[in-house]
Amino acid sequence: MANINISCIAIIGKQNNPLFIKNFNPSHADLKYHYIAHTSCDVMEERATMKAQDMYLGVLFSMEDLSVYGYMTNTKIKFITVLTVPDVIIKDLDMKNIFRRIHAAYVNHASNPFYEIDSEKMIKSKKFEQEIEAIGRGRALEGGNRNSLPATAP
Amino acid sequence: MSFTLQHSGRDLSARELVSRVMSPRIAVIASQGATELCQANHIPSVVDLLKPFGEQIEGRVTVHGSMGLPSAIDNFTLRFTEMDQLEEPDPKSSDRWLAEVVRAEANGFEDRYKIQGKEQVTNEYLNASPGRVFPWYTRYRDLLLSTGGASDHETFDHPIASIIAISSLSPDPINEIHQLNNMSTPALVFDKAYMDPTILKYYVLIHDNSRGNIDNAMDTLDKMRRTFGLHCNILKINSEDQSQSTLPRDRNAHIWIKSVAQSRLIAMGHAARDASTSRSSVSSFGSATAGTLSDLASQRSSMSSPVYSNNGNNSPTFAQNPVFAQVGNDDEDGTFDRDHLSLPSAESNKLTLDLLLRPETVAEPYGCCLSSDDLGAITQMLREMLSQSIIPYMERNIAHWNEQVAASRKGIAGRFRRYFGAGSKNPATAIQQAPTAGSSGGVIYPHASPEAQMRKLADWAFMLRDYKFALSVYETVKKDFAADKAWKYYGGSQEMIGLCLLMSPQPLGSKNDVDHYFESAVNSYIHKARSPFFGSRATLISYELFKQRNMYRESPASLTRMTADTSDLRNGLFLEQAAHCYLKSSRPSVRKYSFHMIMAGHRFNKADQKEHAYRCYQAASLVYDSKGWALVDDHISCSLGRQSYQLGKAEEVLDHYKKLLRESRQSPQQQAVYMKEFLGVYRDYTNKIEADPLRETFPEFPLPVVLGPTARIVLSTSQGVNENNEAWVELEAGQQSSSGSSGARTVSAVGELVLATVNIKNPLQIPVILTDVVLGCEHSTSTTTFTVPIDAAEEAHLALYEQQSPTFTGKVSFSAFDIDRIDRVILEPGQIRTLKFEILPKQEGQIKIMGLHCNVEGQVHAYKEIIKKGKRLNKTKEQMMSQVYEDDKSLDILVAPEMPLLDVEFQSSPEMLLSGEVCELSLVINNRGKKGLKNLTVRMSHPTFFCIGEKRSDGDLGLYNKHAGNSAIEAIQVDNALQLSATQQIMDSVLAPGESIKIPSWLRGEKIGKHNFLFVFSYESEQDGTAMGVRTLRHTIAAQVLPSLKINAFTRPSTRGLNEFILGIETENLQTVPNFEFLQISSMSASWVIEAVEKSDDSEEYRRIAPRQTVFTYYRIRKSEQAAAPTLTPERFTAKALEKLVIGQEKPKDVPPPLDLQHCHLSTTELHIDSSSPVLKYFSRASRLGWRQASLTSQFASIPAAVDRRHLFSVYGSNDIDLALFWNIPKMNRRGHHYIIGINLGVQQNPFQPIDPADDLDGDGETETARRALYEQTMRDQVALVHALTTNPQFRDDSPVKIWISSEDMVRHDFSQSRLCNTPIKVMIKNCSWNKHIGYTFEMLSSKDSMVPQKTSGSNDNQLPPQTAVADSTNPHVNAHPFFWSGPTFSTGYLEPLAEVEIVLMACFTQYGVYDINRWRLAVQVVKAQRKKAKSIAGSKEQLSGSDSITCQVDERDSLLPPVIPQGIGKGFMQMPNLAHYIQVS
Repeated sequence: MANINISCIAIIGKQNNPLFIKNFNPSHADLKYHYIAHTSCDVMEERATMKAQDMYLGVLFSMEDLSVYGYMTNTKIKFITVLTVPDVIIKDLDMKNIFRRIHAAYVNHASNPFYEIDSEKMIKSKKFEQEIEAIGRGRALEGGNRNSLPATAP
Repeated sequence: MSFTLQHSGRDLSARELVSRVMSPRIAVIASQGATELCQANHIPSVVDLLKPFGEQIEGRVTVHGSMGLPSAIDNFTLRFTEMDQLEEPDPKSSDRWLAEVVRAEANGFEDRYKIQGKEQVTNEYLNASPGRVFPWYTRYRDLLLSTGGASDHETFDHPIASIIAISSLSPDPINEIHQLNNMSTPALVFDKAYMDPTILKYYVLIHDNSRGNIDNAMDTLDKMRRTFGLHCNILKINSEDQSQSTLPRDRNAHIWIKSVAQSRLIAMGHAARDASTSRSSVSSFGSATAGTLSDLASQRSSMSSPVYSNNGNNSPTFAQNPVFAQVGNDDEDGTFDRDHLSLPSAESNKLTLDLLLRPETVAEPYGCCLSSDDLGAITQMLREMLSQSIIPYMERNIAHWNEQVAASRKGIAGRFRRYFGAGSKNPATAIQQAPTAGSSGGVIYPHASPEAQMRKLADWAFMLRDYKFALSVYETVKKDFAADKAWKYYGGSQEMIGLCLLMSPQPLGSKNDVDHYFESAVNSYIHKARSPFFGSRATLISYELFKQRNMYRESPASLTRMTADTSDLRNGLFLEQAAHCYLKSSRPSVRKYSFHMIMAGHRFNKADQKEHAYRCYQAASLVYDSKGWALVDDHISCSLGRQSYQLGKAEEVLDHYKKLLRESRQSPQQQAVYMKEFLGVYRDYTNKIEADPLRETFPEFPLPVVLGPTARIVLSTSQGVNENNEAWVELEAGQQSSSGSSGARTVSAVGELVLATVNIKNPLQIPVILTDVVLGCEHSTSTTTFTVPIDAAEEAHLALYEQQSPTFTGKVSFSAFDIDRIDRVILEPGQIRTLKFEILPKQEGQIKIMGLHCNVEGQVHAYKEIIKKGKRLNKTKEQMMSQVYEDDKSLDILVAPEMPLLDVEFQSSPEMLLSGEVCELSLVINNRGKKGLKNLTVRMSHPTFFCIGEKRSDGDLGLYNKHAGNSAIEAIQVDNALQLSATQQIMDSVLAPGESIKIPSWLRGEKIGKHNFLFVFSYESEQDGTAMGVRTLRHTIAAQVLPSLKINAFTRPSTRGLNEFILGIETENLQTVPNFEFLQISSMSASWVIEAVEKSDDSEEYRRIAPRQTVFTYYRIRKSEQAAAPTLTPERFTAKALEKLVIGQEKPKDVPPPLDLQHCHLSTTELHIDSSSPVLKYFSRASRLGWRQASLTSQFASIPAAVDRRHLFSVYGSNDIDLALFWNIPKMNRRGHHYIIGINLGVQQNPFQPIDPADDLDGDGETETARRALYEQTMRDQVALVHALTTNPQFRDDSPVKIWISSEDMVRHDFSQSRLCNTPIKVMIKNCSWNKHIGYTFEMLSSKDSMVPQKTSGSNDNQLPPQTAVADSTNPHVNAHPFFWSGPTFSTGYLEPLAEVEIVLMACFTQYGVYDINRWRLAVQVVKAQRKKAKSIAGSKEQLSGSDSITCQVDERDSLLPPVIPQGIGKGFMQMPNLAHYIQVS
């Protein structure tokens, strides 16, 4: 997973509203990732109808030097990871792992009884940001693998 | 025959378009004479004459393909060009044209479809023609495709044939043709290596019917045929309108308008090109002065091997070489730069624009003299030329090249030959003669080389629509190009392969493959060959063909492939097309559409196409609008703002910038930029419309954010309004109306300040400075209705503005009110600030707070409405379905006329006092208002603590006034109603404005603890009928009450009489320092008085109570002789009221009548304190009331709260006795008194009693009475109530009978004289109940008899409550000797209420001794009233109504005789003596 260079992690809500967009790549403006995230909604919607069984949607599209990966939960929350295209091949397994961690972080956050799930506001939570930051920077959060979701049933 | 060209009318299908663009091109050389003939018809040249007809040659031509099979082609196209215009026109001019065309189409365009989501992607949109949705694109496409020129790598723009036209008027036609022929040969284009100079020549003789003779012309034609072969033809036209028809002169003009305009344009382009070529050649020479010309030549020759790759900027040598860099730059297809070239003069510029956009304005009556026959003749001529000359010529050539070149190349040998024979071709020499400014300096194949011929073969096959054959040739030649790294050629062949696939009618095998060809073509063109024109041409054509095949999914990829290219205009157009493709694909992707629109907008902006940029951003903003993508929204708003600023749409600029000034994720720097830009824009705008920015209000300006719901109004006069706790609410509930906030409106008076607070927030991340902040208020003279004029805010602001002189600070004045102005507020990022404004009303009516005026950053005036919603309404269905709110009135001020304004103060209010201590305070009442004050009343939270006196001139009311005598009894009538009048009237008279008075009042420490005393004063104005009515004022004082004395009191029945008691009082001093001095005890009771036990007891030591000391004092309580029983005793009243309540017939309404209380004072000094003084009366009653209410609530919890206890119970009972102990602490000058409340000396019984058992004939008690009256529905409630009342655990019915035995204490008897000593013992039996009739059985017991009742003695002993005898074991020494009763020892009888009977019994003693004669047993039974005698009934009735203290001796006699024991109806009691009564016999 060390070779994966995450540029941006975005979380899009059910109504295709932005919930969280975090830019890890200083060479691009935040705005660009907002556009990418918004545009990905189209692709994900299309993808999701094609194969419904897996939450991981694979590469959505590529733009210039960026490739966009998607993952959509059963509740239509969309996770988007933008990678800077590396020299080596990226394995789907690694990407799935990253998405699973994001998913776990999101579930942890949404389990907070004070979090309004259907409010279309951006997520503001220090802890959540830390977790995403850790994922984006390719670090494991201290505290071991509490982020691991049970493996999805085949 | 009406002749119209289809072209202008409709959009071409993509295939038609391609085959038109790639149709054979024919060069035209015309003699002077021929041109003149055309000009007679206002047509500039022969080319122009032919051009429109070549666009579409109607009819079908048969073509033989490569295999010799015939196939038919409809509507063939031929393109005509001047011989000297074969090459492309000046690229910069053509770029400028393109830009102008695109720009022009933006004007007045209106987006009809307004795509916001998938819903807007309707069939109407999908089926709309491109010219409707994006007309600029089609114009761009057509213009771009028509500005091509002959290129090295393909032959579509190379002439296939040339037409040589002469006039029939020519004197020597053959010679002229020769001259023209010679002219054509050295034409510049044919200098180029790739151009094949051997082309078909076609000779046309133009004959003017109106000038020359047709026979001569035919002769000439024959001559020509003989000289030049078959390729000759005659074209007959007219230069004079022979028919003299009435048709307008420009009836045929439409045919030529466009094409003539275009030719003129292209001619201009060529002129410009010639100019620039000469210039650039000069400059290139200039730059090459570093090396010699020969150096340059050698460099070129060394590089021009086909193997050498100079295909892009990857090659370092290429980039370093100044010449090549120059060449490369020249070719660059960059943005159009106005300053780059010397601009054409304004005139020619306008002409260009007219030619481009409005060809009809520069049109002449083209073809004015041509008849329809002439037009037909032209078509006819062209058709003949096509079918008889051109197509056979092409077929022949194709067949020839196929045999000569292609067939040989296809074999294995051919492939190898290429490598073996490489030297023989010598491409280097070819290139040496080739270089042109237009080429990229890549490999150029001379026209005779096999590769060029292959390409030509394929192109010609393509023109004849033999796509399959063309494809195979392209495939073959492609490999050669790739091997030679001839990228332009390679790209061209890739493009053509793709086109062949798309053009052929068969379905595509794999869609990706086709796209792949174009991808590689575009890559080669752009990145390697640097030929963006062909790159964009390939993209355009492929896009058109994709569209035709509904391949919208593939199109965006091909369109955006060009993004690396530098032409922003083209990119903008392509991105926009890509955006539309996303919408048109099977699943519309609106978000991708909007994203691409934004990118397109960006490119358009760079290309200086502001209108288009604005349009694209606008379209995208519809999609992003209010979906939460704040950063994106901001970006779009900012872009739109900047675009519209540049477009001069001032008001829209402001609208867009307005959206940016909000809470967002932008960085502070970014917001500061936005703010600065906005302020600049606004300044410009106001300057432009010549308005003062501070005078005009900016509508709906986003700053600052006013938090409407938190806005509030506070009266400056009210105290502690914000702590609106229950205590206050309870107190104020009693007032008729309160001035604080009546309903929802705030009521104030003229001249009294009102404080308004408004919270504002700065949503930005940069500080914002507000100046001249004023509340916008509206005044209305009506107090009920309020209509705000629509432009009220504006008017108010103008009024404000006028007053904003710099010298004036602080306040703004209006006729109806003054209001504060805050000069400067700095809002830090994200800060919420509370602004306070004082409003001073000056006129009656209503003031409504509407909004907030302020100047933001001193440059923009904003007006923010304060919106505050009332309660959500939820009554009707509509209200439930929607969100309807009540009108909020909390920001309205009702201005009443001038009012009195109360100010109160308690002077010398102690902070600490002892329990029971009484302090004197003075209440100072001050009227600060402008009007007189009257009807001052007060409500208190602690009415038992305070007594407010009446206004007196002399200070001390004499609380503890002394009167002579140390004891006194006086009777005072008191109100027995269970209510302390809630509001206390303080003052009746009018207190004039500015006056103040002192009112004495007293505070008594009623309860221990810390207390916060709340007062609500209410008062009225002396003027009647004001809007305000009653005003109130809250006041609080606090005090702590410390413990002083602890007092216990107890009573015992006295042995001295039937109705006498001993009162013991235990007083403990809880304080550690002071000595209490006991002053006086007073009793207050209706029927009891207190008296001293013995005078001598009042000694000094009992008067003083030292710290921590306890003192006992004893008093006697006896029945007052003076007590006059009232007609309706409190008990009777209560019983009646309770019964009414139970029966539920009517709500009790009466209150108990006043009661006469006897105050009895026992003082320790010579003077006594008169407890009947109003203050003490007030305190005693208040204390009593407090105790009574508390005890009643606990005793009668079962009575519903709705029932007013005032109508059920009284304050004093007739047998209650209250005591007051007066004390002082001499050293500390403190004095006070304690009350002992709750001593009831009557018989304990439940207040709920049947009123009159005598009237109750067949029922058995009160429950029966009640039950009869019960209604079904109230049954359960009532039963519960009755049950609760009858079995009230607080009350235990005692036996109503009291018994008193009296005898002499000492009997002297000489037993020697008589053996028996008989002593009469008097026994008094009294029924002390006020309402119960009883029957009794009295039995004297001898000393031997057990006190325990015998089974046989009572008739209904089962009901007897077990009573324990106490006497037997008290003293074992008494009754050492037995004694006996003589005479009757048994008595039964009947007693009416309060009746008593005296029985005399004889005790008989036999020895000296001390005897306890108190040995008896009494069984009491509550019975029905006796009715056996009429007299008795009358008597009982009399008793009910009148006094009943008569002793019934007669009854007693009767009752002794017959054992007529009345039937028991109630409880029975068994009584036994509980004290011994000793008698000494000596």
